[in-house]
Amino acid sequence: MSKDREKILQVENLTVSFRTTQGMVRAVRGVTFDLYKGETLAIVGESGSGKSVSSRTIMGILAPNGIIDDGKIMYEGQDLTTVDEDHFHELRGNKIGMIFQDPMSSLNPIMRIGRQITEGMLLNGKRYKNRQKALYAEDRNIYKEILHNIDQLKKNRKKDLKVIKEGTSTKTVAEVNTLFNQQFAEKLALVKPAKAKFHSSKKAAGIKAKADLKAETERINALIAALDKADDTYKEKKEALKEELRRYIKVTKKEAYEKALKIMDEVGIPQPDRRFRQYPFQFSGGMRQRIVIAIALTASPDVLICDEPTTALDVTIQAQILELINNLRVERNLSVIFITHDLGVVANMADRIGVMYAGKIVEIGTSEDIFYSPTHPYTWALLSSMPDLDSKDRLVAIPGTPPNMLFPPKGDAFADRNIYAMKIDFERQPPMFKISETHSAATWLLHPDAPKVNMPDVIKVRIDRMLAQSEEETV
Amino acid sequence: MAKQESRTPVLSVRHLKQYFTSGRGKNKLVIKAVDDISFDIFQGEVFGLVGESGCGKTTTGRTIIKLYEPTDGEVFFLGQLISAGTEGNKEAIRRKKVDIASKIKDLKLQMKEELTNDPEKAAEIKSSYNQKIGVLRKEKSEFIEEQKIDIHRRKQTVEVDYDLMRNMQMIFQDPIASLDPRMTVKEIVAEGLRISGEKRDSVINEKVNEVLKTVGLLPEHASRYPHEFSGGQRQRIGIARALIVAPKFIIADEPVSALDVSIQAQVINLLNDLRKTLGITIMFIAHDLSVIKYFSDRIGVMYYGNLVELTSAEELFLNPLHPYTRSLLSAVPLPDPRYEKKRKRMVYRPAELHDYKTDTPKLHEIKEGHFVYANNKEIAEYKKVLK
Repeated sequence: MSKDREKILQVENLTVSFRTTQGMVRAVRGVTFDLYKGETLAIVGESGSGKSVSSRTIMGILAPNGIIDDGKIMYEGQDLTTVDEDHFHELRGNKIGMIFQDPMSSLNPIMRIGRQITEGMLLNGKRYKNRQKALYAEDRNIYKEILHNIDQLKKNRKKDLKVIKEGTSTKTVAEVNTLFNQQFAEKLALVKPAKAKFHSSKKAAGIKAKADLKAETERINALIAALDKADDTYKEKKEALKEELRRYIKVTKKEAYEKALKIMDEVGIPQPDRRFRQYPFQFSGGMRQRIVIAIALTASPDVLICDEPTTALDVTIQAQILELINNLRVERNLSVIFITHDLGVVANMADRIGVMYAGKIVEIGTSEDIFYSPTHPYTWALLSSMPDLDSKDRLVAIPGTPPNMLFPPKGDAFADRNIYAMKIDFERQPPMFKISETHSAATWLLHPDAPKVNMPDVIKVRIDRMLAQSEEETV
Repeated sequence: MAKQESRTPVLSVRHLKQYFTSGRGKNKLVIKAVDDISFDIFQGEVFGLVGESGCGKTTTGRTIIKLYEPTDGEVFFLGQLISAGTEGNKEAIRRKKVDIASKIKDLKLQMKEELTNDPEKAAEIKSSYNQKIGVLRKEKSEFIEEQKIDIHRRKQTVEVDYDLMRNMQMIFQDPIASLDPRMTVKEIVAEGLRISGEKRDSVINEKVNEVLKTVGLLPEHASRYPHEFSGGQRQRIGIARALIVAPKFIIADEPVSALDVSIQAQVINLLNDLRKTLGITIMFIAHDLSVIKYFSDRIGVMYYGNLVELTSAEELFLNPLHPYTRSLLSAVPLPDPRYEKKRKRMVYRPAELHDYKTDTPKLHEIKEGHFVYANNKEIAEYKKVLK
């Protein structure tokens, strides 16, 4: 994992809560990770550890009661947490695709799968309009940015005033107000010219697009007129030219159909032309998951988020789907975020692995780091609680249950279930300790003052055996 | 495995078939969920049943515990016939009827040819033929009578003794859907006990508390409702419900598939303890091979209604013979990245691998305690592999 690789997505200190009748549920509490181009990052954790919430936040499909308290998600130079819904349409699906867990409930049961695959292409395929939009996008963004800043100013003043009311701030009301008035006036002066520029460029864009369309129409018509009417293929040629004109305006149904067949073939659906007109119930579980993948791929995204794509499938089908995702990643140079609770699945897929517990990443590293030299007690517990094909001894179960995130624990969230827990674990949250260039973990055991604790024998024995085996084979 | 003969089977399944039909007439569709499987489960062992979804492993479990009426075949539990299908007898009767009818028709045609104008001779021929037909008819009615007696015998199993059946209990896959949300834990757990005729509250309370302790819950949990528990605890309630009537045999239908990894280990450990302390025989249905290898003594592999391989857990992983077993084993992911990078998955394509047109396969004991579904040609090949 060299440093110079391009980071495609950066998540910094992401904090998400849900407002419920019982109070605020702290689902994600400061998650930080980078996703490099072309790699697979796996996020592993139990249900309720916040792994799905993190990915949904990246996609901008958080439930209405979910609030992003803090943090940034940087993608292509913009912060996804501040992008408004209008604008998010251009990213969601097109740039960042998602595959959901249950292939039955993520497909519409009364819609032919062909229509479901082409739906996105047709909706996003208004080429004429999109070109027009692209012409004035810059001015529009400047204008929107100013409006957003003004909103932010107002919000900040409100927050400051509230703090003053509670009596915990050193500032006075007058100070806050004068600062606000000054900044507000500055921004307000910018609004009018920006708005005017936006509208004028929008108008210009409309005129230019119309002119372009006219020129294109004339060009095509001239080509049609130039065709030899006596030719046998006259009709077909004329139709092809007309189709070209239609495709200039939008993605036509025919075009979408052709592309859908290609993608269906790519994800391994046999006889795509026949399958195109069938309904989801006519497909098996594995085939349905392939369709979900096909839908995600239609827009050629850069980032693919897979939210437990194989949990509902059995071993053989799971292996097929994992192979498919891996092949697609290599062919299309995708960056994949792979969310699962099964560590076994991850060993095959992931370049890097992040282990999540109670809304935090507790250990992150390359898959060799996590599987051959795990350091966090939770990772140890996860690894030792699953039987492999050689285990015969009693399984080491993790006692107790994950904490209730309505009342997140003060110290390390795993302390209650951790047999290695020290006094400090119950009082203060451990920071991320760096173990190597690629590997870091959040546990006080790594602190220089901590007693030396070795990983449980079960895992030690297993890792030694695995390493010995792989060395044996290479020799 | 060596002392197999001396061990008593708790459960014997013989030629079990379970077909589901849908539609009528032209649209009639018969789904052969379980198609002629036979196996024994011995005292104190864990018998694992593995296969992909839709292969009929859950149907097998449900038919054994009489949630379905089998289409054909017999199930013996503790030496007693508890469930049997009659479709085989009906089929035999149908075939006999057609057979006899065609024979009679042939005879009549023969008679017509032989009949001459001589009235005396004609009468003689007629009487001799009528006699032959009479014999056939009698044979038919006797056969039908025989089959009907057998059908009657099999049908009596519909109302089998409760005291016997309470020795067989089931643990279901989904711990959320299988518990009634409007009943308290005590009501859920005690239900089986009440149905078996226990009316004294003091006894019920005592037994519920005892069984809750056995599965690692507290007596004060008895008054709570299922939604107040986590997934692992709910599955413990399901296990407690099965245990309260002190069964000898438990069918566990994917008891850990719906649970988180860390909780799975708790439940598997619990089942393992119960089996050691209470000596319960378990039939364990799952699709996770590493779990089933860890937990089972013997494993049966199912593929589309057929048992394709049946042997001890070690033997199955050491010498997998049937190509489907091998493809299943090659698909198991392990927590070992270097191994995973090299793992090659085998694909099972029955149409290319087997030629069952002339030589039909059956379950064949290829080595002591190692059964494989194959035809004669394949058996010879497998024997070579084993050597």
